[in-house]
Amino acid sequence: MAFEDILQFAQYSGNPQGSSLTAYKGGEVDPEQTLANITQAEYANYLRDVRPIELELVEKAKTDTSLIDQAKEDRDNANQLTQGVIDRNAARYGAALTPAQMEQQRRSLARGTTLSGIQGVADARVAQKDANRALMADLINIGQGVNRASLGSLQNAAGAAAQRENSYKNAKASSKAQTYGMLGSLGAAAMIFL
Amino acid sequence: MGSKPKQSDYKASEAEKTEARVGAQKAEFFNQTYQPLNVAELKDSLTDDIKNIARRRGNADVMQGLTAKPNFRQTQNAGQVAADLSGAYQGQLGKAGAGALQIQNTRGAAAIGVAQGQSADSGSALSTLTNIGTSRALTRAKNNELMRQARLDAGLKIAGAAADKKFGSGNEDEPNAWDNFRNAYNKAQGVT
Repeated sequence: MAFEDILQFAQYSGNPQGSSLTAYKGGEVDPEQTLANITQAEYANYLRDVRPIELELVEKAKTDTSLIDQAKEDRDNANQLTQGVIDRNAARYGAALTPAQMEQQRRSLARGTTLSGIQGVADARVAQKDANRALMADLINIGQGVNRASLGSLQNAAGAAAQRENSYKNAKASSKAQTYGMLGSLGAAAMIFL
Repeated sequence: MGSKPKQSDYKASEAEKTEARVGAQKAEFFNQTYQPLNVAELKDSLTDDIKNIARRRGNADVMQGLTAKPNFRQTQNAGQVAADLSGAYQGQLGKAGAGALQIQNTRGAAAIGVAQGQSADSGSALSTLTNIGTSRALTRAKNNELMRQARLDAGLKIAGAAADKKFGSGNEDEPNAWDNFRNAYNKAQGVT
């Protein structure tokens, strides 16, 4: 965690020590405020450090073509590189080729490079699809977990709100019943007295 | 009459204080030590380092395998040699790239999973906070209701005592009108 964040949330929590997320009350650790500070800081860190990369990965899983692009680049480089190897080999053994042989060699090289380039790009397309699908599956799994956790939090909050509302209604009803009971007692007393 | 509750009776025990202190220190340590590691892992997973390493290795494998032992025969069949070399080069680099991408994606997704796991823990922490807040609000509401009722009861008792003094006969054997009314009220209330 960056120091600025610690400082920011320490200030947010009103911690006089100003150097940590731990909050103090009466000289002792205030667990509730500390938990709130840490929860808030973790979420802020997630938003700052993780979410941009997470969105980048989701986008990558949908649109990445790096393997295909690289295969095309390698295909273009392969011809020149292989020609260099062949030329150095010929020079090493002093092999003299006739113009017809040289032309045939050039054609053969071009044909071989093109054919392997086609296969390389085709393989890259398959590998790319596999990689993107695997990444998407991983991210979807993570998303499912996040969804479950967030729904759990919401259910908890909703349950707490419902519990509060019910308690308030019960207290109101109980108070009303008590008031009516008292009025009834007063009325009954008046009747007995009269 | 009961004594007022003392706040000191509701103080956290030494064990609770220690647990809170140690928990806070551990959480601080995690935030300062492990969280940056996960962020670094996440960022590192996106760099091309692993791809470059894999491609260098793939390139070296091809060159060592096909050009380490040059011979004269190769110069005479250069076309086929070139085609083989080109195919091996592209194929090997393609495999290296695919393997590196798989590693990159797996590391990235794993780091995101860990980060989201932290978020999920934060979510749990949030639930805990909600529970703490809820129980506190409920207790406060119940206490308020209790206090309101206690104040009403106390007011009625005081008023009843004052009325007893002012209007009552002061002699239980010779009850007057007020005493009769008070007794009737208590009877209706179920007070003996």
